[in-house]
Amino acid sequence: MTFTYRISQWQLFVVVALTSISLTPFGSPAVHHDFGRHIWVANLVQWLVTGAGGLLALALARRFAAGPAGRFSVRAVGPVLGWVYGFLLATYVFLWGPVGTLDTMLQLLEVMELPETSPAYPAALTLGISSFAAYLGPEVVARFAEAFSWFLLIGLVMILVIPLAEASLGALLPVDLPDPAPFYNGTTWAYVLGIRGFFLVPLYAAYLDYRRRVHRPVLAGLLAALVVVGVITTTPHLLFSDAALKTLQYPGLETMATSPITILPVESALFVTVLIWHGIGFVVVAATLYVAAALFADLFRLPHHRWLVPVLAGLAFVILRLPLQTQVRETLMVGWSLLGYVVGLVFPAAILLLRRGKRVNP
Amino acid sequence: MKAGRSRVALALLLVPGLLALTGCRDRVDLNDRAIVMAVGLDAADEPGRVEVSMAIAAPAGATGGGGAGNAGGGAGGAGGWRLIVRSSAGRTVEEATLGINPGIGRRVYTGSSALLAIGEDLARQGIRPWLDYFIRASDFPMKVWVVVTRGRARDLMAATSDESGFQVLDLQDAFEQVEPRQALTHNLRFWRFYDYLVAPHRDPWCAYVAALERNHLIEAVAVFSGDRLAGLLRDEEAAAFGLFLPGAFMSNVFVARPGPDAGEPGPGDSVAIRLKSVRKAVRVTSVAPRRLAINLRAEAIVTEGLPVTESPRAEAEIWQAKVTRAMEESVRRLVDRLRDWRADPLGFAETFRRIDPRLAEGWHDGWPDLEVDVTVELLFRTGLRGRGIGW
Amino acid sequence: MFGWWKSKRKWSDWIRALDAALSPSELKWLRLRLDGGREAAVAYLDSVVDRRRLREDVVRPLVDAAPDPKAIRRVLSMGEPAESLSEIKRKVLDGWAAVFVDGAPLACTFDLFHPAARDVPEPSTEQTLLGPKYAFVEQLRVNLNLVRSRLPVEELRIEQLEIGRRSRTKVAVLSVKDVTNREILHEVREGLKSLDIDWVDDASVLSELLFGRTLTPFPLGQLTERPVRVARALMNGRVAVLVDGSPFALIVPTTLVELQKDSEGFLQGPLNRLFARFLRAAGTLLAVLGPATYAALLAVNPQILPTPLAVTVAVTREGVPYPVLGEILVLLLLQDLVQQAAMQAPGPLGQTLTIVGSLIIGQAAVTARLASSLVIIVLAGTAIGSLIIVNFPLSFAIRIWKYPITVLAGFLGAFGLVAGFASLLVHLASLQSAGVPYLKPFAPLNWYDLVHYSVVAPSRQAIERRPQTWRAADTRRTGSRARQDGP
Repeated sequence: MTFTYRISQWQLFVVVALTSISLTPFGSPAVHHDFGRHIWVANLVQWLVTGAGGLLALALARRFAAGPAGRFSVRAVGPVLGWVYGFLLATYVFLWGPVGTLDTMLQLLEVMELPETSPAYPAALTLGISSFAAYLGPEVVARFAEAFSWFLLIGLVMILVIPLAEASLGALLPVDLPDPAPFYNGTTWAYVLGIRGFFLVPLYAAYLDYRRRVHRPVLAGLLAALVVVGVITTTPHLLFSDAALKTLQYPGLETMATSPITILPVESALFVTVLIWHGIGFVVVAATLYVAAALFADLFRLPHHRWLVPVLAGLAFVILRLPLQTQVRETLMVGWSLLGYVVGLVFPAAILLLRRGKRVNP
Repeated sequence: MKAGRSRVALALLLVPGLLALTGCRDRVDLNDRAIVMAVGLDAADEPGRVEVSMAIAAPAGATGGGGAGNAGGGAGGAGGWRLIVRSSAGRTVEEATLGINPGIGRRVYTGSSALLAIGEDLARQGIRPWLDYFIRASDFPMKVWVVVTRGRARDLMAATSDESGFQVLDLQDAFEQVEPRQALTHNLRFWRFYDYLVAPHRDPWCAYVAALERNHLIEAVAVFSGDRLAGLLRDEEAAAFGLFLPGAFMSNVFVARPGPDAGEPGPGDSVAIRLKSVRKAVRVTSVAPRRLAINLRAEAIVTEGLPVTESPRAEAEIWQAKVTRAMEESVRRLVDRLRDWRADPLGFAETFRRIDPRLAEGWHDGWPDLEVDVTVELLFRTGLRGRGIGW
Repeated sequence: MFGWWKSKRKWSDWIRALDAALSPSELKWLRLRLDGGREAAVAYLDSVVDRRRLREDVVRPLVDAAPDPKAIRRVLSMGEPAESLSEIKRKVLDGWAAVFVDGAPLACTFDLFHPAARDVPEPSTEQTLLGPKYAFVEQLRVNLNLVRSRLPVEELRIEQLEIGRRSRTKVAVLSVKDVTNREILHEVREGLKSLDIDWVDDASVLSELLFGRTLTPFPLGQLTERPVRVARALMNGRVAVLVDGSPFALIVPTTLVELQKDSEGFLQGPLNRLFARFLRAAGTLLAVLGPATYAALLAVNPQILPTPLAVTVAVTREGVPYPVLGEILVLLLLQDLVQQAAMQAPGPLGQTLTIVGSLIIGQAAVTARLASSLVIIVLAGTAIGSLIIVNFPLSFAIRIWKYPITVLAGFLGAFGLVAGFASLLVHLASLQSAGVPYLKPFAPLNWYDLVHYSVVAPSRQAIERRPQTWRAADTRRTGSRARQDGP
């Protein structure tokens, strides 16, 4: 029995919102440390970058993406350059999702929950389950994200609301000018590119029914992510002083540890928080794994993305387990963030300026 | 979904699933952990070392002496359990913790602790280096209560009590219940204590507890200057201190006694009030000389001493003025005391900082030269709001 | 019409043919002497024919009419002529009697099927508090009757198919014209027609054949024994399949939410229904995640437990020789054994078994220090949670899924719990029943169904519109089409 269900607007919203929220609040404790209470500046820049990237991706999707995922670059700039761009994009999505996000997730897990278990086990488990979803196709990934989002929504609301019990707005200091020094730092720019859900837009857009509008779900998803990330990064500043925050590893998480949910037999809301972030991690890894596999399959003219999924998952596992020095790791992270900058902003902008594609009309 | 596809998908899922079954070393059953109820920090005999004590919940049957071999039946539930106390010294908290051997063949587990007790000696020497461990340990709860103990923290943990068997447990209950006597310190959990400790413009404070024969006593408020214990606030000073804490003023009692010029007071010879609400305003001037103006507007209910009436009368107004003066007096005394200690638990420096960060620089040294004005406005209520239904 | 009268064919010719085709010991022949030396014979299967009716409706009229050929013709005209040997064979097997008259080229058949019937029973697997108390039986005709009488709608379409190369089991596909989605109906019909199998015995087998033998434990077709439920499903645009010999109807497509619904919204008002649905959802989650949560909390992440609870739990587990994970797995297995045994044991014994299983064994295990008392509470919660699920196959699927999740949680704690739950969701998200995603209306989201049918269901608006999940051709209940029949 084969009916094909296209991805709905709501599903696109959920996928974009969750991938945009991702593990961003914990992605870079270093940025928290550098910016301190001026983290809002980094958030703002991040949002501007994200907004620009999102709009560019939307424009690309509308102009070129009425076909298989990833083919739009070929249609836009010709076979050779399009292939190179597609390859870079696929590599970037792969590095960001199954490698980068999962890496953050594993660090979180190691620090907060399973200090003595080898990260290999959770890594294998996460990649296994995500491959399961990605293997079954974009619709299953979207439905999985959507079904999970019901539980994640409850958790996210708790995450946003519970720490406010102990927070006081009086703890906020008056606005003053931030120190520009952190902006000369590579990690900062890696963080600024932290919200990257928009990269999925042109790829998922291929599955959208074009009679529906893509703008609204994508923008709504980005906005929702902005709100969530904004609240989570600022709440610690309502509870802790600047100096104390700089000594915490994951301010967004440790904030949750301050307030007990007395009504439940649950000692610490931290439990819920960690569950929710893991849940989001699963969705992100599944979605990006699928997108990367589909893109690569298209580039190498494979009949189907399916068999690439386990291959990519295995590759991600190997990369995650590679013994790398922290410095190398940081450099690589900054490196591929810049790749993301090129792939997500510079190139799309160039294409849109230089090429007039055929607008996909309803 | 075709059968072949789902089978492959299942294999994808199962293989890592099976892999995950081996070697997950975080799996330690709860009853194989030595559940630490309270952690104590004391100054060790040699300088630069710390002594860590842990009160460990153990089943009643387990061996081990420790300070308290009492069967804590009351809080122990059906099976019965007791606390055993173990201590170890080390150059770091981590080292000391590793030295603790519960002696009952279990892994020490601090995730359920509810109390962090700091010995007075250690508190006077400085505590900052020793708290870093607790903020970083992922399983140490950030919302434990912090207390400074009279004498050694270890003695508090070993002290027995009539109620639950252990003073540590009684103390936890007392904090959880927000009993009026503890209200002063009820919202000072570890994370906030730590925050004030680390923040450059504020000093921490906490409860000062003494282990008595069969009971504990929250004696005073321990105020720190920097990371050292500077002094203790008791009685009226503590009450004045409470005026500045949210939720804590409710328990404060201010008493005014009749002076020589007083007329006929009420039934008693003094008036006591309970505060309904306090609005505080702390203003500072940035021009020299720096000046700190504290203005408190409080609403109070007379609890003893004046007849119950519906509106203030002349005698009430006299007493209102007296109590106001008494309050002003105690607040001023409190500020003087804090100034002497060079401690700033109420965050006055923070107020300066909000105007201009430069004002707050080096405030510790400038603190004694600061001019402080204290004004209190008190609204008296002797009991009745109106005549009621039959009016 | 009755040209056969002049045929030279003798009834005895048929004997050999039929005897060769059917089992001779069961096939009975009744020989009758008619007028003018002509003979007739009645062939029937003794086991399925109603003998009284054979005597009253066939034999006696024939004997009475014996002298008069016209009277004989009148009697025979009440039956159905059968053209070929294979048709006669079919009908005889179905409990018809075939009358052969000398000189006739064909036989005349009478339906004398004697159903080994029972009375229309009360539902046994889908108990209901306030609702019609009758259920399907084994006979297709009775079942169709039950649905028809429940749904006197002229658009009700009943298509009879025969499935099984050898058995030729009668299968009825029920739909409502203009309401049922044509694609889904076509899908089901073609799926049934394309089945190549020699024998079909039950609706559940049919369901499995229809959706392929997937590894999923979740039921992709809804089995029900309540005609009311079939009627409602039909009016909502779904397709029902009835199989002769099965007291269950198969309703497709189905969704997880649909399987969880009570058979009737007997509770008045949206709040009551909301609460009932909430209880059921909570019970389901408890059944899947309860043991896993226990394992995660006690074995890996005890930080979550408040201090007094942690100590109490540790004390109750004191002296239990197994690790938490082993303890809960063994007891879960034991519990499922008891449930399975109770299900198979005859009525009162089954109840006794349940009590023995859940209370006595558990209590004994606690006393013998083989299990902690908390685990018994968790087990009880799990059992109640799985019992609250209306649909039996679904409750079974949930019972299977709790094991892997518990194992993962026991090793990896909260993370394992989330991972297990995520894999369950991925699995559920990948399922489709006749093209309808299994998690609808939650994923893909359908606000209308979610609000009016799944959460509060059926609300006031639901009276006017059908649920959208089944993609009914006619979405409105009220309006022009309904008014056509009005005055």
